[in-house]
Amino acid sequence: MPTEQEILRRCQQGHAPSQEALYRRHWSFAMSVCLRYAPSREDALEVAHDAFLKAFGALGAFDVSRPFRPWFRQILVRCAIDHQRAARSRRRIVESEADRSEAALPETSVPPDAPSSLEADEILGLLRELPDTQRTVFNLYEVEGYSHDEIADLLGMATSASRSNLARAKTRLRSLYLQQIGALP
Amino acid sequence: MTDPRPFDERFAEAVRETFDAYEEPVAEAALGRLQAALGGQGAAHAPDRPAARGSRRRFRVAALAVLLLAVSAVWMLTDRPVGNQVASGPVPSAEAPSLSVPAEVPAPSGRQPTASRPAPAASVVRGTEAARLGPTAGGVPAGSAPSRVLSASVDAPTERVPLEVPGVSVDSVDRDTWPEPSVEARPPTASVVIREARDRPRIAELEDSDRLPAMTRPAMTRPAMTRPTMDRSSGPGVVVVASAASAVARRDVTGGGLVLGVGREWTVAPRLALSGGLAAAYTEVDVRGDSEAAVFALNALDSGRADAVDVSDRIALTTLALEVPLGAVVDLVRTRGGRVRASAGLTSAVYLAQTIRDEGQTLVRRTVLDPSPDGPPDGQTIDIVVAEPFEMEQRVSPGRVEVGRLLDLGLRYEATSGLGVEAFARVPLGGVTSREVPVGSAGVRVRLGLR
Repeated sequence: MPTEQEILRRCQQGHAPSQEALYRRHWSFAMSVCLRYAPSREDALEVAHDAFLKAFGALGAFDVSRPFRPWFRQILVRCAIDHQRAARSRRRIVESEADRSEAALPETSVPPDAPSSLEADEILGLLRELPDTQRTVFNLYEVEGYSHDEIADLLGMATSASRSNLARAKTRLRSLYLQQIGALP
Repeated sequence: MTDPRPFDERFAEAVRETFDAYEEPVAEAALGRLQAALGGQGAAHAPDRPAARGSRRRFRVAALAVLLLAVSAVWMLTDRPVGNQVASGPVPSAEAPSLSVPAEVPAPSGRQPTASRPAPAASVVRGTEAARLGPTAGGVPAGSAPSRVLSASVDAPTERVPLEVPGVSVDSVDRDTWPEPSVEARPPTASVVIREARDRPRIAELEDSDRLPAMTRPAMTRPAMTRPTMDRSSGPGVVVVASAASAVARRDVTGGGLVLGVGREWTVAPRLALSGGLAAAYTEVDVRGDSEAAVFALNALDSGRADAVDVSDRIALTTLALEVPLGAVVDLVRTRGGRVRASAGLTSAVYLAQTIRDEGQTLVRRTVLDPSPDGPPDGQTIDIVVAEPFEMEQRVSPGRVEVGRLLDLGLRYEATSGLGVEAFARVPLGGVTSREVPVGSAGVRVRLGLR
């Protein structure tokens, strides 16, 4: 069984079986990232495809002695953001309406043990109810650990906008969750 | 017991946990689509990775190239007389060419010395004089000159001595139709009968002449039939070439190299020849670090595109290669002492050894607690950049072949003695197959023609 470094070295030579091995090894990871950012599974597949293509193209400059996943994660996130930008114009109207519909909910209305035993599909269902920007900011800040400054740079927005999008995302997720469990009409 | 954290944090943690353990079977259709796209895109290039050069096909090509080079070198270094050679000096009979290879033996001059003026023991014929005395002398047209001298006789034999014809092996003569070679002394006015090609006797009248034939009377002197050699100034021959060059590239690149090899030319027109050869080339190149590299590295770290970036202060590249130059040479000016020539060609290389030494710093982004006194009280972290020195030496396995790596341009003066001096420039054609730093060179080449 070849090590990841060996696979990466062969990929640098364009060795097709190694490329397939790397793809299979990191497919789930790629989809776990893409699904969180993309508004649909089809979009996630598209983002993963683009990210793998970019990764194989840029692999020549990658130092195989370093871990692959953090590097690949950055590619995945950037591809997801690029994909979102490309689709932003056609969703702008929908997003604006969604922004207006959000309502502030007090923390006390959420059950203290929530969320409990959420499956991936359920989480994705909630995330996909968020507008693209809010979903992206939530993922970048809460899951990837980016700072608001970094998010602002990545998305081309002000730091304050990043903060407000995160706040809105959290509020909306809470509302959506309560609707899902029937605690909110 | 309930979790005291707010819903948002609990939800974010649920997302992280769920997707950290996320598993999904590979979508084969997506894989097929990616493979198709990668097939069109080609291999990812690793400019400084030795493993990127190890494909089996390249080794096959390299092995074939080395084999061809070896055969060429043996062929070039073999002293093979050729058609336009002329006599240039006496050679002991033991080294004289055998009659068994008549086509390679130069025709004797038609004119013979008179007995009153014996030919010198060492007749040296060079250059244009040799050409005048060549095959057409004595009324024998070029190309039909007798290639075998069978015997010489006189009308009034007084003394019979064996004829010493250089290179003649008695065993190789058909004794039934070919009389034993001999010469009989005779008065100075006698004529000499020269028989050629068995049944074709020819009479050449002896006249007093300043022109000395390539063959003299054997009984009086040592045979003057000389070892054929090549005219080093005008005909093809093996040339030993040595050159020193300085790198010509960007301001941050310094270095140079030495080349030692052999070459040969093939005349294809009166002023045009094709050239080829084989040489060992040693090159040392230093690339100093780009001051902007650190800026780009810091930008990459700041934007989160990378967690660590290597910034090289110095890259030293040492290369030993077998070079195969192929080109054309044009005579621009011919003078009595030599000629001025211009050359152009392509040089390919088979790499025997390559060492890349990289020195610099690795800029690493680290996340630490904010140490500033006016920072947030809740222990918020900040990112800092730490520089760590690195030193790396990489030895590239031999066998890589680069076809048409350099465009070689030169202007040289070649003396008739065979010595030549050439100013040259080598322009890198890195876009063809090379992936190295595009470094050209300029320098001086010394050439010495050999017999």
